[in-house]
Amino acid sequence: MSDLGERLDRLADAAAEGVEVTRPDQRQAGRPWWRTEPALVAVGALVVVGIVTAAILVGGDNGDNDVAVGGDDGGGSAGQGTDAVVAVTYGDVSLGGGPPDLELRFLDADGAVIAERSSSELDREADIAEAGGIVQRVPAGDLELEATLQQGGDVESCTQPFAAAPGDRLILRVQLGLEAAAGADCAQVQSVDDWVADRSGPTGESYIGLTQAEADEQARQAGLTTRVVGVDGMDLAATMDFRPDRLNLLLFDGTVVAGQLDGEEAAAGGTEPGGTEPGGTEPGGAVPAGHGTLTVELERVDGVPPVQGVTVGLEAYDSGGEVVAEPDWGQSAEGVLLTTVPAGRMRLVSVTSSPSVPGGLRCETPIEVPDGDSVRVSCWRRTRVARARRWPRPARRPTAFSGCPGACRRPASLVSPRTRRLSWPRPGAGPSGCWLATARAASEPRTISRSASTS
Amino acid sequence: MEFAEFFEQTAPRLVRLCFLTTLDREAAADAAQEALSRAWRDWPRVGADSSDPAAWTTTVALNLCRSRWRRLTRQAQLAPRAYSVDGLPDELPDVDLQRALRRLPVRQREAVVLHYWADLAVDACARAMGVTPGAVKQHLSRARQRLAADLGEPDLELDVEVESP
Repeated sequence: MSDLGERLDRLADAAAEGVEVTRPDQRQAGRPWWRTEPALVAVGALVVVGIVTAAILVGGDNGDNDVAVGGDDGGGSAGQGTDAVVAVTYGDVSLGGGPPDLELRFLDADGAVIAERSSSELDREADIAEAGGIVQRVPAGDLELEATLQQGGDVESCTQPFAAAPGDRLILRVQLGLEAAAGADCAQVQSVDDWVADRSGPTGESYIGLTQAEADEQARQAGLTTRVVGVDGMDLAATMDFRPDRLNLLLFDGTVVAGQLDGEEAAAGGTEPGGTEPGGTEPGGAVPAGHGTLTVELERVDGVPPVQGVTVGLEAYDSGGEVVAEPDWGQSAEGVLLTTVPAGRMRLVSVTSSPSVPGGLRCETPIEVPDGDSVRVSCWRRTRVARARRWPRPARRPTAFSGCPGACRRPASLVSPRTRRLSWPRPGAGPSGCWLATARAASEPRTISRSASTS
Repeated sequence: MEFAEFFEQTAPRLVRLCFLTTLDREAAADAAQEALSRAWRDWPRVGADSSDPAAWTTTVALNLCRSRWRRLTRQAQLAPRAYSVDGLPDELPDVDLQRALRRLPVRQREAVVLHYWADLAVDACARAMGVTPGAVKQHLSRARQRLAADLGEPDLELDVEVESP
């Protein structure tokens, strides 16, 4: 590299020979006066004034016939309003992360094209947080998104109707191609308010509406650090370490829409994870002798929404390998699951499967249920944002995985060059190799846990 | 600073920068011309004392070069037989270097040109490219490895300097 600069210099000098760049302020010198910029601006202004004058005159002439003139003006100008903002992402993956090539058309109720956008507009080499989704301002009303995906030599297309009210901020997650589950909509539609629900704390309230730079500065002055955990409806992978001085920000259309300190309760409307037990089985009073209570939480990691088609099954085995509990934790279950199990040492196995991971990801956690006491295990559900930088894209790539803490076995289908680089188990994640090891008896003093239900 | 003075100082460097980024003389001339035209159009703002017009123009030029690269890549994907982006200008020296630069991804090429040719520190490269300093270091590191392999210089050293705040 010692002479790289000189070699570049020589090459650039040779290339620049004979290349002329005209000074912009002198480019008009040789033009006739009527082609100079001031003249063109003046002509343009005159044309605009003429059109506006003509419109006013026509409107005045038809003052008694408002329907004919006024109606056309009002209904035909769908593109004039910018009443709602829509951000389009490709599933949970940044369109800035590389292929696929996605072409978008926003249509109004009459089928007229409001805007045409493309994923090629985004900076594909940028960090995910910098790329975000495609943000489009649209008039309020019944609209339609037409998405066309080019993948290899294949072209897929679909349409998704959606309604936008004035002031709406919507997220459309296109599910074409590999992202599509059988029978899935062309795009999932979600409001920004739903996206950020329970993810804004009292501290973050004062950051809403700021740009990222402004939020960084305000946080710095308050002695906080910031990190972006979501952009334009796309949730970013985030580490799960607990730092009470860190503000997690969600951005939409370039401004902060929610902010929450690590471990902070939601500002308003938040639901205590422990407050609902959709899939749980109430032990119903006293625990029988020789038994304990096993409480398993499926917590949402950094607010990542559940991924369609992912199921988490639980099995508990005693030291002899016999199944002592097989709670039914269905696909839709979230929150806390309670079951009574015989006291003693056992293994809790979670099996996470999805259509793309038929074998399932098995995580095994050794636990000990004290007699007459309870044990709580925090499991997690997160989406790994895999950035497909290579082309052609791998046939299968991990999009989501969930499970309980413990040593995990990964099916071969989840191994890809990208994830291999990330390594599994995560280095430095603790002796168990997984991210969380929060199994503990309820009677023990609490140390560190991300379990929101008991905080 | 007057625009005329700025133009005289910046234009030759900008053409060279755009060429090294695109490896295409016409594209380099177009990108440099367009970037300078935009600078002139917004000169009251760009040329204000508090701003750095050279950095602004460099960023605009890089964006224009990148847009062209994307357009060509896309056209090549859609109609690979009709377009080719592999042609090298025969009359220029150091074909090995041209070929090695051509093999680099556009971001890595930008990082190399800004750091090793324009002598910008990593922080300045990051500002010009619109990425983080860490990303620039990564681009430089990968580019160095590829250049070392392509140019047959296995002992390349990366002397990355970061501006102190």
